[in-house]
Amino acid sequence: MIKDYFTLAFGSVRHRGLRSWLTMLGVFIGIAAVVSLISMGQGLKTAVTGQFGALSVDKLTIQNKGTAFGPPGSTVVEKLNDGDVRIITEARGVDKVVTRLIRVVNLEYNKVAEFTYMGDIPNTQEGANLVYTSLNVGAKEGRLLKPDDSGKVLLGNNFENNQNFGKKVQVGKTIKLNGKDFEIVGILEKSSSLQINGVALTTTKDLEDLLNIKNEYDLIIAQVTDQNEIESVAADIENRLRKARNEKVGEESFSVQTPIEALGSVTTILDIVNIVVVGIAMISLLVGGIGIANTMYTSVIERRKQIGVMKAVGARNKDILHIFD
Amino acid sequence: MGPSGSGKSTAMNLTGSLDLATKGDIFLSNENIEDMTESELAQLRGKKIGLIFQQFNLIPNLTAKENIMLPMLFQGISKDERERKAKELLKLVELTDREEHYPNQLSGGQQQRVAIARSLANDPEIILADEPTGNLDSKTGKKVMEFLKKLNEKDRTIIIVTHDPNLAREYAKTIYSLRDGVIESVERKTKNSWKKIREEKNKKGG
Repeated sequence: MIKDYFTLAFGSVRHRGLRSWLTMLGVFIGIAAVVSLISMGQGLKTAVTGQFGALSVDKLTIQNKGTAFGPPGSTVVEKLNDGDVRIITEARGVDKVVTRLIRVVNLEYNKVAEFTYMGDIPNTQEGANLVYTSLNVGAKEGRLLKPDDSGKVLLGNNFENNQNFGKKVQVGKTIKLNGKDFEIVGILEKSSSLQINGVALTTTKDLEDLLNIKNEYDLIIAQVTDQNEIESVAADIENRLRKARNEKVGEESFSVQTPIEALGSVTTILDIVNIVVVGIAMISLLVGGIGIANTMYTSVIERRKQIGVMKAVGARNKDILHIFD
Repeated sequence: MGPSGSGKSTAMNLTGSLDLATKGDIFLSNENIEDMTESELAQLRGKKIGLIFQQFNLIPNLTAKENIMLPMLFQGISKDERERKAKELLKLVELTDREEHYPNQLSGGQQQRVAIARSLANDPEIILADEPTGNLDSKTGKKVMEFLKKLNEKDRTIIIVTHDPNLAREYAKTIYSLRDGVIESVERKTKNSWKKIREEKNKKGG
């Protein structure tokens, strides 16, 4: 019996072939849109937070304010120096301290010049390990830099497929950094962070010589002994630096950033984006739903007469429902 | 028989249990239809009454054979039995070669014959036909009426509603004339003439 009702129902679906397909297509696209919008939102969040993957949960980043933005002249601020490093090392709960230089240099290969970010690998094995851990990538080709390397450069993954040079960037070749020759020792694996993919790394000594600087740092990274104590360690470092620089609370010329702070603002923005995306998905779901309801309603309305006839020849309400199910 | 607005179709719908009376009781097989649920009524109607409409009312997306099988489906008859009965009925209405045709591929007369076959599917006690020839030209109408007459001769009760006195006098055995919702007269056919067996005058009733 049930089989016969199915035959009847499918007969009707076939009878209205085009409409049936369009409805199915509509439902399908609607669901696909919702699913993809939501997963795109999630993907966006993962991708953006991935950019901050280098920030491990047990590391504090100390930097002087105003190094990035501001009118010309004002960007030439006081850099962090060895004195700061000493103060931070003395702070309670600090395990290791690593200084970082991040600069933009002119990179030349096959007579094509480009500007690129440069970072340094500390000249101690301990410091180098800390940086490599925070980069979270290994060498795809060649090898990583050793602390005692000289005249060697390690490149981010983007250089491997960079077409701008007109010649493939390979391990063993020589590139010019600010006019000086460096040998490529390795190319990094692809990282989720765009900055890491585009960076050129040399040892701290090489980079200081190249830029002709000494006792000057852009970032100090402090690893704490206990990551649960990170907030109080940050407070302690702030106190000590404030005291050393003779600054009042709220007027600091430096900032101590915890990983949570760094992620916090971004996550908030992403959550808003996500809500908007889900909102759009909900609207399209609603529109789709109304569309389906409308199709069902019309197909019942236009078959009112048929239903009447079926009832006249003995169909119970149950039978009619079976056919329309 | 009666002019338009005389209550023919209402009488028909009440007899066929398609409508429920606002006043009074209607008994079908000794059961008061007022006391039955819609679905129970539909079941009983499907079994006891065969309906033929002016508009044929075949299901457009079912073939002639499937249309005839439909009333039997709702009575829970097996598929083989339905097929067999449908073929038998198609033969009766002389449409064996049209069994796989859809209603829109059939002429009006053919559609009405399919409808007649459908009304017979469950061997009903009564066949109700509301203006069965109303949508047909006189020639095909005549053919349809011949079929109904043949059925009547096989001892099947047929109630036909019409506004056409000629049709009524030609085929009917008893004529109930309605006017303004009241039975005006009842005539029965004798050998050569029509004999009035009852006449109501200015009496209200239903």
